[in-house]
Amino acid sequence: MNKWYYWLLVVIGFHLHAIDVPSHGGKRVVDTASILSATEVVDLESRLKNYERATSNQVVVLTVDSLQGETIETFAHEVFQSWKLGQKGVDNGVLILISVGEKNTARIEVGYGLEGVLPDITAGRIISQEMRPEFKQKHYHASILAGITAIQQAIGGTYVVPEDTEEAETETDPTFVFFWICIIVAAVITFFTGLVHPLLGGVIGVVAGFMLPWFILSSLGLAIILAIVGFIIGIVARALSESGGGGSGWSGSGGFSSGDSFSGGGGDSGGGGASGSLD
Amino acid sequence: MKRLFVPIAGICGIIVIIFLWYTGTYSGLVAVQEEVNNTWGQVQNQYQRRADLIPNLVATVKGYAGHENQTLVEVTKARQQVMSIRLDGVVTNAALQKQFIEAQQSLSGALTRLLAVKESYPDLKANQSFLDLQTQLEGTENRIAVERKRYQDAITRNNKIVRGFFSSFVAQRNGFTVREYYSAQVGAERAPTVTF
Repeated sequence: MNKWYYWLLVVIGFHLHAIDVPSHGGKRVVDTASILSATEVVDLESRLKNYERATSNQVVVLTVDSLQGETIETFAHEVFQSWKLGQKGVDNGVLILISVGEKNTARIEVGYGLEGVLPDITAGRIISQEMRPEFKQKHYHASILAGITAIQQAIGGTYVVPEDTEEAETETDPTFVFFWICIIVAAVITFFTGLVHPLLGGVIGVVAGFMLPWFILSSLGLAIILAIVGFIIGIVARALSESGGGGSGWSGSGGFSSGDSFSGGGGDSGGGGASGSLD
Repeated sequence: MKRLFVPIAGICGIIVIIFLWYTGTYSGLVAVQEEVNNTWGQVQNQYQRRADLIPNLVATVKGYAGHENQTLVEVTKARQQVMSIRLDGVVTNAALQKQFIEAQQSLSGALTRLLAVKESYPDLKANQSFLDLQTQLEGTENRIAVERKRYQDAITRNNKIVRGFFSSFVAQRNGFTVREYYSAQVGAERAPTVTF
């Protein structure tokens, strides 16, 4: 339910990111720097997928060939936030960011929920002691694998998968609730005015649908959607008032099934983790 | 009768809309004000975390680089100054906030100089507990940066509503004000004067 709403917002450009964060395209290993072969990507991908299935921890790898002048810390945080790594409310995501080029650097960005089991010192040592030796010899796959393995060991048995992750997912967003309140209020107003006067119903529907979210959330995108919804309700009310009966229902979405492809769980990080040189 | 019903229904609708808008804007203001306060709390927490790391760092450096007395004293003094600031109400008091930020910045400067000391002491540079402390410090600085950005974003949201064409009406009537951004002062990284 929540998801389609967010998609709606994405489509209308409500959440536009000005920063140049690459799309993960449903993958857990995003190798934009092309340092891995196709089979190596598949190998890492399947390990991370299985790991996420077993523990719900989202560990994701990104390689880039340039940071375009940004610091690795800033960029890692932007990617982490944009991809929403980790489950919502549990924040159990980890991003391994590797920047290759003149200087090879890495950062392990750790979600809020894993800061306890994967403190900065551990993250820093994983980079300098596990990843760096292999990376220096250009064994990129081995280097990343060593990093992933060490992270999984660090998180180890100490992290218990929550029994009902469903509950964490269905936690309602206040904006989402408000969205429905707007629709209902607009619908009620429109319906009654529509019953009284056909044209007035449509007009009030547009006005109510538009004004409510625009003023309160100052979101033009939502306002336009609601204006359309309001207008439709106005038309329905008009049809009802003419025919004198009938009913209509909202069809809810069945939700997106989570297949093999990756999608962020809605987690967040507070900038925890460590960065280090791979040279 | 039916003719009167239409305008009455219309007026009622408009009143309802205005009422909903007013209450909605008000609760939006309350929410965003809470957010400003909470994000500021996080900024303070992370600064506190940094201050907590310093005694260990000073002790470690002292073991290897006892000659760097002035740098060590500077850091200790800057930390004392930071710790002496009362944290309650800093978020709503612009003058206190300025004082807080300045104290933290002079601590940042002193810390930078302390960490630079390692270049002259290879043993210190290779010491594992020093390296770990340095990693923790870097992590904390990064967390501070993240929380500061969240605070700035909250301020932007707050000021947008407070200054909004329609919503400023609600804000002014209920005493919601424009909040000040976290401003880093140019040249604030200067050394505090230490006298012996």
